[in-house]
Amino acid sequence: MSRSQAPAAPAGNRTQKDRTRKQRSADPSAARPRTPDGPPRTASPHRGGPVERFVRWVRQGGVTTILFGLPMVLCFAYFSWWPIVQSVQLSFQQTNLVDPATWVGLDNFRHVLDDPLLWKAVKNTALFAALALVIGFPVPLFLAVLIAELRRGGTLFRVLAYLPVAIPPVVSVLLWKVFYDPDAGLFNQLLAHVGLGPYPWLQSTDTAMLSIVLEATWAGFGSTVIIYLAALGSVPGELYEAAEIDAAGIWRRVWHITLPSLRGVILIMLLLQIIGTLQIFTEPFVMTDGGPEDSTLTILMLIYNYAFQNGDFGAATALSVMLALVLGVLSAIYLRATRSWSN
Amino acid sequence: MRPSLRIALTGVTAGALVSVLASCSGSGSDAAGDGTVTITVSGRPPATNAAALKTFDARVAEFQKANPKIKIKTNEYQYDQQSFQTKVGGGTLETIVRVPLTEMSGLIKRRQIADLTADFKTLKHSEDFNDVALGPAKGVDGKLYGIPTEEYALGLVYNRDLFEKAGLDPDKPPASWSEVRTAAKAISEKTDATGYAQMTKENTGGWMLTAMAYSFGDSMQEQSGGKWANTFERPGSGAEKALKALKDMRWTDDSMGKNQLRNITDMEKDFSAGKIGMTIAGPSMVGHYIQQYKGDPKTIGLGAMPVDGTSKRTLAGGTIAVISPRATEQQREAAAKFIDFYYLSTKYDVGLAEKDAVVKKKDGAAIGVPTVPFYKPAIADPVQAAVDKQANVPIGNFAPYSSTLGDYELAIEPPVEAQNVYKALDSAVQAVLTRQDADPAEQLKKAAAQVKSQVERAQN
Repeated sequence: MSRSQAPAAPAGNRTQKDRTRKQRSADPSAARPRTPDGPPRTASPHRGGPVERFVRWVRQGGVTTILFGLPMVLCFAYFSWWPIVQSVQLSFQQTNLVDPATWVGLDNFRHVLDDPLLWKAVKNTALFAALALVIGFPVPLFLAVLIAELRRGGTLFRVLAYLPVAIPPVVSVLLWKVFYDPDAGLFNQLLAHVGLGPYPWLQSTDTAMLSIVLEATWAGFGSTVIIYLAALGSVPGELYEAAEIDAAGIWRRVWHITLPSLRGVILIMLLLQIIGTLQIFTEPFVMTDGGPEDSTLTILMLIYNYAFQNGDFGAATALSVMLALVLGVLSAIYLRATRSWSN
Repeated sequence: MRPSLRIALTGVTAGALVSVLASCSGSGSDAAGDGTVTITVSGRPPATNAAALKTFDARVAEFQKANPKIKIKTNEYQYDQQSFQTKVGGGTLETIVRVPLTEMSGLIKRRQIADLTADFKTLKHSEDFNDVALGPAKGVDGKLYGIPTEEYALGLVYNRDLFEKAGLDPDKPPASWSEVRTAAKAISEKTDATGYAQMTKENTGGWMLTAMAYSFGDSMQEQSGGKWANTFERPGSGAEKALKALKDMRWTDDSMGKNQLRNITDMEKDFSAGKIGMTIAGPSMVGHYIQQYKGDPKTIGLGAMPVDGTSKRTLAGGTIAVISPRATEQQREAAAKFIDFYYLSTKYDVGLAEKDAVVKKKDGAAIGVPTVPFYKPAIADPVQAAVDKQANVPIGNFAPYSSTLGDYELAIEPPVEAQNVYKALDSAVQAVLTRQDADPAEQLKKAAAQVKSQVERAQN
């Protein structure tokens, strides 16, 4: 992040952001009095020429910092950044992983964009994200507030809420697949007791995606609840006391104190959830293999099919690159749109 | 770093995972100065199967003794789609891997396996090898890319107990699709089980539909002007008749149950649990039923592929040994020799066949499950007789299958992009089985449109 070089604005106009920025740049040079109207004072003993600056940097532990950082940087570079560069390169190539790759220009992108399954996968993924938002977003928030309001047994409910997260994802997906069995599954048997069903669950294009969202919500809400609970702990108690003195009921307290206090966390959880849902893979892969009739085929499954079923790594990386671009743009728009809200 | 940028990079990582595979590569030279050549053989039985492992190791040691210049390394790797691509990319693919028949066209098209045309010719009895059995290992270019190690014709696997309970004759399984329909209805009505079930997931839907289309006397792709094209969407095609037959059983008779999303494992599990009356599958399912699921051998029956009309046609299944594209000429020669020794000699040498059957029986394997003979009758028949003498499964239960096998034309997979064609057809089968208003002809047209460009692209 670049240090704010702009002349200091009049105090009255300063936003909170400017203040935080200033606090963050807490190194000696920033702490010095600034000279907003004139050129920097080059004669200052602290500024000096490049040599002096280098010496000062070494004395302040610059070399050690780099040495400490190096293993991490190398690991990231080798295992993360280099493959990223390579995957971008691969998206313009065709390879059978044996002979040298050949450059094919935009062929892979054209092939992917021509695939009728792509738009189906995009639609399915968007549907999954939307359903997950409607079902999966409010549930953890509601549960967190509920658990926080409990006078007793909070720990027990925390454990219970987190339990599904402790189960390995594939195990819980397989478990739910058995529950969803249309003939002898747990859900249809339970619902039959109250005169409902039998429902087709995974066996119908209308309900398959919803069934997967329910499973994913169950499997994932625990960690979100814990994060919200932690955030709830930081809401100052005086606010609630004041509200209670003003005779505010529980809903008013939640609406006017809890939710506004949590908005920073809610904002980031929402973003993480959107990105997570757009990359959904394990659940449909294990439960339905994209069926019935490709109604649960997601973008990541399509990438998987390109790479491993067709051995077409060019198409797989091309779609990956496109997905990454879309996610990047979406995130940027989201952060920009909610910038004022998060502060 | 700005959060948005960081998140964008996180996204790219998804793609990066795919290309990590491509980043590593390397292959060592395996011919030492003294002329010794080293090859790696996959498919060693796991340590949990101690008896089979001992037999395997003994056979490998026997080969080493006879061929001191060939050094064999073994491991437990078994083919699956993900790891195969990873191994090819990383240069760590074993010299010999056995792959399902269904994977051959893709591997050949991508040139990820070695051309064995010349190496095969040097093997004993190679001129007596049945063309039919060799077909699935050949590319559209006529070259040979693998050596079959086991082959079978798909047929009707059924539960004899359920047949009896439904008042059907377990020794006379349905021979036509209309008889299948009648039997399925009877089983569904008189027992708790599903009358007839079919796989639909992970490309098995298309695979099974292809087998059915063949049994209606049709094919899925045809060649004209040197290029292959899909034909399954033509009006009145075998695939359409097959889908209509399924539609009738599923919706008119309600004899196919409600669960329509099964892969091959789901099918074997449900069948072994006695939940399914009939399905079409390979005889290899019999082996799994007995060994893996501890099913009662007396209960399982095997009939020939039901047909419609006079032409008897069915789809071939099985495994083919292929050789790594990075293998040197010496390694290829050594590998072909090993395949001949380990997989083929027991199919043309009566003494070896009997010895092998005796040992495998002791190890708990199912002996007597019918397979497609690799060699001309003069060679294959005495071998089959010797193996049958050691049978530990009720061969009589397979008589409806084995006695008519000779009348069948054994057809191979669609030659171009079989897996993609199957994937698209999965959807068509799923549509007909999960949606009452799905129209078979329309679903086939949709599937054909989906793979048309892929089939064309593969031949350019």
